[in-house]
Amino acid sequence: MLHFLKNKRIWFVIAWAVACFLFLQVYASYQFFYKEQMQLFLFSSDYWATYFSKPAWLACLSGDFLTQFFYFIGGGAVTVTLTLLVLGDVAYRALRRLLPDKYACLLALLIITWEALRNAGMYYTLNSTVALVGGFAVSWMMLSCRISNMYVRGLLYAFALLITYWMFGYGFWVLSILLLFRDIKSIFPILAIVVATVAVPLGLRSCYLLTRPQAYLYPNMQWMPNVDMGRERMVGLSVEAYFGNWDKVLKISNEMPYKSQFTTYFHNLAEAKSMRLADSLMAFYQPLNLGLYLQIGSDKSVFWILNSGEIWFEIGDMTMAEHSALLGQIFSNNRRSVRVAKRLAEVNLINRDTVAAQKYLRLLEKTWFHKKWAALRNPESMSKSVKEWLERKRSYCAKEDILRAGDINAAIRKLLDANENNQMALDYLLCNQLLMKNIVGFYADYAKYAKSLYMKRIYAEALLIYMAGSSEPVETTVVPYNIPASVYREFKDYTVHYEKGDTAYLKSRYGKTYWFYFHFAKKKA
Amino acid sequence: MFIVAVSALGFMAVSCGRLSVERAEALNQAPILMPDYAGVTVPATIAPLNFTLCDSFDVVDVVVSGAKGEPIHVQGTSVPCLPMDDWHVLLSENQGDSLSLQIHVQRSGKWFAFNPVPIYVSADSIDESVCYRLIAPGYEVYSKMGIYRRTLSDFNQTALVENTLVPGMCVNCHSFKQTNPAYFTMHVRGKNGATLVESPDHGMKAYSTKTDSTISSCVYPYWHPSGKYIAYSNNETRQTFHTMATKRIEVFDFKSDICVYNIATNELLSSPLLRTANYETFPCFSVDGKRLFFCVASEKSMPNELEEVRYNLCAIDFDAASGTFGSKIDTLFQADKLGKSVSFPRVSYDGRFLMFTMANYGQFSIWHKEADLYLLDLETLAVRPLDEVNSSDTESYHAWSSNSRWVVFSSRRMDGLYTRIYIAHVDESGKMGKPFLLPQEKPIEYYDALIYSYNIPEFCNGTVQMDLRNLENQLLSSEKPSFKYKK
Repeated sequence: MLHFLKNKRIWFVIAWAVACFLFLQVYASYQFFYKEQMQLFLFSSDYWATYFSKPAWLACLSGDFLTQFFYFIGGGAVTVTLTLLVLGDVAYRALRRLLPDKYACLLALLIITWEALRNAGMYYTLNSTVALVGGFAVSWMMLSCRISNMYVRGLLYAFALLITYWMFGYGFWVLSILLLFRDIKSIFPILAIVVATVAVPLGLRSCYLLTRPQAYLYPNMQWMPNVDMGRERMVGLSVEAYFGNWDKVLKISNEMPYKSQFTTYFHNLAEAKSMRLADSLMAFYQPLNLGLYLQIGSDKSVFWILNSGEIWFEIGDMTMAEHSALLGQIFSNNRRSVRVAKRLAEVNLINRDTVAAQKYLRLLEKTWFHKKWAALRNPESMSKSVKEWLERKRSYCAKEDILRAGDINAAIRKLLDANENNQMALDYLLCNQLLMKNIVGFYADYAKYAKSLYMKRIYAEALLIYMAGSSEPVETTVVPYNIPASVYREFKDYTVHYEKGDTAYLKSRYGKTYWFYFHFAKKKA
Repeated sequence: MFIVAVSALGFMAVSCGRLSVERAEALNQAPILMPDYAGVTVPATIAPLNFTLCDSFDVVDVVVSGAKGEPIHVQGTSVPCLPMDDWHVLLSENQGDSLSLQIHVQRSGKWFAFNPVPIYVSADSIDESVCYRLIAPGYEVYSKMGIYRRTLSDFNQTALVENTLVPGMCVNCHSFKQTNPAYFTMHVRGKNGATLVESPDHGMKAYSTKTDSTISSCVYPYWHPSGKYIAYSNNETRQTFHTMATKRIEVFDFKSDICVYNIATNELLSSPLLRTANYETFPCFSVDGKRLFFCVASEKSMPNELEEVRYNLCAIDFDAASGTFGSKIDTLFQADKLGKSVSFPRVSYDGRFLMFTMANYGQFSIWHKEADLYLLDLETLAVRPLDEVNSSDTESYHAWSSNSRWVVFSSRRMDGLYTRIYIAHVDESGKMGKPFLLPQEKPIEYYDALIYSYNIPEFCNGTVQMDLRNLENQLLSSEKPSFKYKK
């Protein structure tokens, strides 16, 4: 043991592993959670058989298996670090057959550092790293073989490249390059290596139905590292929302230096969850009403599409929640996702479509880390808390059918017709009208669904704008709507300064009011 | 019944470690099979009808026997797969007759016998395979994954095209000429989108099908029996969503017309009668090629009046020699008077029947639970619902086998969410046998894990020779030829 610890290289490896773990934990921990959520690894022979439909079946099977462990806090960083250590070890062993020890060591270190950076990218999968592990492992074995007959050697190389491509996809490039270095002076082996390297992916791509670049690079999707703390925070919003940690969603969104439509979407959602959407609306960046809903289009990413359903699920619009989930499924890796399966199970349970829900629950029961979740929601063994949650969610669903035809507000009104206590839906309806500056529409919806019983400062401000534009004296309408006297006084003060054109005063005194937004917020060109 | 159970023991000798079924108590009930293969009619070349039993047991013993040939005997703690070779021999020897499925279960050391279940083996042959798309449910208009071919005599599924072939590609509607894969058309969407047309005389070509004179690209295809024309609809399609989840999605047309593509001249032909303000769609040629069947509905304000849109079944004459249409439209079945709407008309290749889907409104019956299959007798023009095959859930797209003795159709009856493929026998008088679910090696596990819907199933009588490299090159080509419209 002591001898082991005296080896400086071991301490260096430990230091590298700790640094790698910390780097991945800081820059990619949320993205690791997201990667785990976007796959569905089943323990079933039929599912495993699907890996043979593309090259690199062993790399993808092993990579997806390991990705399951991203489920745990720190699991992603630990799993990737350990995989990189294995990669470093096999790379070193393979390279040592061709290079002096210190160069082999240095090159292996560069390779795993590069891989660590690539693994911090959102769309980089562990499958690609495992493909390299496989490539180096086969190279190590091949470089250990001593075959004097160059024809036998050449044929063996070609066969090894074929098998490596089949099992590890683009990991076969490692084997090809190292074998070329080894046999640089032997014409036949080089010919065999070059021909096999070019011909194997090209010949098999029709069977695998891949494009030329995909055939040569599968399962690698990204060459350059893409470390981005801003993206990590964005993914953090989505992941914390998925875990139901809405306070953390608020914390992340508040701390983000750059506020985007996506940030605002989750900030608004988190505020709405604690019934504070109306209170906080003007205190946060609002890109008109685009921060209330995420519009789906063919130009949007799978991440965007998947998250667009959160608002619909929370306010009770199960059709749109299912729509987003299914689109998320279509565009996810292998078109299977734990997160989507859970959402579809929930949606179908809420819709009382038990048969459809059980399909997804049975899928989840075939996983290691989500079967307990599925068991608690199985109609035959449903927990009491899930039953209560289900009843609450069902009470939010629309009871009258219309075709929404692009009208978000019409669909939300149906939710309010079904349950007037759906305060989240009401806030979204009213805030949408306000952010669109549709004061008449706001007043109509407020009068119908909120009445005077439900008063928030921003609604009082908007009602005063509406009343100022109506024929009746403002004073006569303030009382019935329970508009606080202080708000009315401020409105009069705001109006006086607005008419004077005193913008600086208005901004300093009323910059966070709806009045200021109403008059000065403009759509950016 | 006890006698039946005891007599079955005659060939249940203990062999290869198999338990002997002794003194079985008759349960006097049929077993509940999953999938439900009890009483189905199958072709002699179908893959083994593997199943599981909806019952608890410690050991299950299954004997499949016929009047001729060696019985198949399997036993296990779960229902074992039926051996492929023995199954095919048994079916082959009992064509035109029936098989008996005798199931015993052992519980706590005691054997119980279910009533024998019949499986009818038709003497009518069936095509070699079925082709279909696998898609995410509810999004039938976009996001196609690929087209697949499934051999009916075994469990092999091969991908003909997948959307990984060309970046951003989505595979859309496909069609063979009367199950002949040498004649093939398919739409591809995405930035490299095109319509592929392949025939022995013409080879494979990718076209842009939108012309200045048509309202959209070509959509729903149907081959003329001569292989010289393809009828297409032009649809300006939209999708929208219900607020309640029971229906989920609606797909409707703002406009739709019908035209016929002349492959030799690269021209689209049409008639003012097929390009009205009404919605003409789902073209289908008669077997002699002299008539073009289609669906038509009166124009409405869409989508507000979607639930008022009802399609009738109509036909117009077509002269293949001159490429001209008749001067009048015949209404064969006026569904709107019944408050119903027709979609997907498909003529049997013996020319005797026309099968269609009927729902309460609209043309996109896939999400209509009330959608059922109907049969029109083209000799008497009598229409009847196909109660033998319909279920309480959606029955939708359907296609005939080349000998018109089998029908493949999609149904959502399994879980209400995902469409699965069913095949039913049709006799000369149009009577249908009980349909059977497309067999799989482990059907329950397979369908449980499958999160795609089967879409547009078509029989395929032969191997599809798709030159994928040529296809890829043509799709990626920036200069695709365009259809021309003959004015």
